[in-house]
Amino acid sequence: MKKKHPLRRILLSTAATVSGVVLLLALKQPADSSATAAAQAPAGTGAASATASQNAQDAQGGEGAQQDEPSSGPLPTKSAAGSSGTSGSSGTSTATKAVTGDSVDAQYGAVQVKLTVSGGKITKAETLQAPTTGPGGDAVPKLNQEVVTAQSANVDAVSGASYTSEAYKKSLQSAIDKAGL
Amino acid sequence: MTQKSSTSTSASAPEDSRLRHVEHAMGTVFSFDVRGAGSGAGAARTRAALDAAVCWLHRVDEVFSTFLPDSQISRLARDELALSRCDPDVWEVLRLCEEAERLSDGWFSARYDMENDGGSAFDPTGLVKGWAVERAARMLVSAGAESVCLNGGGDIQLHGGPWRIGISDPHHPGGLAAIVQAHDELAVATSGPAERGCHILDPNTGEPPVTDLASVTVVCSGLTDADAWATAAYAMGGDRARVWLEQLPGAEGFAVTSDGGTWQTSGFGRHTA
Repeated sequence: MKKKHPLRRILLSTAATVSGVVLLLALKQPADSSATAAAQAPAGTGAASATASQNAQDAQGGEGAQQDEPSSGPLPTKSAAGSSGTSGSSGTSTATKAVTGDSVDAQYGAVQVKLTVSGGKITKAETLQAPTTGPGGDAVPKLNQEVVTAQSANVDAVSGASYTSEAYKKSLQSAIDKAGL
Repeated sequence: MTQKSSTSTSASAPEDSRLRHVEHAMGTVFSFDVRGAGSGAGAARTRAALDAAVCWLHRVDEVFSTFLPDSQISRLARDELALSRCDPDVWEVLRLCEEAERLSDGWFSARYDMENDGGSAFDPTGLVKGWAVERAARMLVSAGAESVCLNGGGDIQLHGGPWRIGISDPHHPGGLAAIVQAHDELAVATSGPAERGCHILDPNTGEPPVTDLASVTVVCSGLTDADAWATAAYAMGGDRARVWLEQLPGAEGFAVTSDGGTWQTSGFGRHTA
């Protein structure tokens, strides 16, 4: 249970901003297998049953399953993953849950992020709502991918946030908070 | 001004205690990450300092926001409030802005020309966030927290460590251009075209600068300086920024150019992973 720091740090980094694929390629950091798998198929079937790390410590009971709003967004939810319950089992692994972030208004529409957490680790990020028009309309799917792969970056925070990802970040952070990660 | 926030605490082992908190203020997101928050009375003190730091950020917003018509800065700009009646923090920020302007030969400026009456107004937005974050992080250290990482919209103040900070790659959203490692007091600020609230002008032309930089990062001990200097360096662009950062005591710089290249000052390597 001493290994909790890296996990928490990594999750914070995803909250602070997102980072990812390029890092994997450019810096050749060892990639976590589940993160990589999810990154390669960001919208595909969930990696929910993926590796439960020893960091599974705190699926903190009930906090996780708050679903603020129904997924009424324009994008279909493709999650094959979440048993969207809470799993209070602390200590041992494969607890899977889904948490939905706040809906955050951005310039071209609302952004809402849903995370699937398994074994205290983000195994999937998807958008329930995302702008479909405007510049960067395709940015959100990329960001989803990056949230997952960011875990292999092993950084605590990222300097140089971009304006366009602000709404995404906010929704993501609220989801992470709800997951109690 | 919405206040959405949440905190998670873990304290399974006393020496392991950790506080995390996300706060929305000043139109951006602040992420607190505190390691070694202490146990017992120490933890309570750290917790109190976190609350105080959060209040402080909102207080700064109230005083310095250019979006709130009743902020001291807004009233100052409309000549409804005398400088002498402003909060002493306003004087401090004013002085810090002047210092940064002098040090950067005018490339950082908190003054901007009014469109209508030809006068100039004071907008310290480009400095305030870094200054507020620096002070908020120090509150936690004063309370006894061992390691603090406070990220204010991508500008970061660190104490203790070790911490690993990615520098975002402006050409590949989500990617990292470099990684900085910190073991002690250190600030990391990045400026680029996405930065908001800054009136970045070429002091020679009065026009937005023609820069060949996609982003520039400054690393030094305090975020007030790091933030203002990154803004100035971004406005300078190219060789001018590089030469300026190179001779700036206590600061190192890293830049990503428009064509995808990078450069760094001679001592920047000390900070990289």
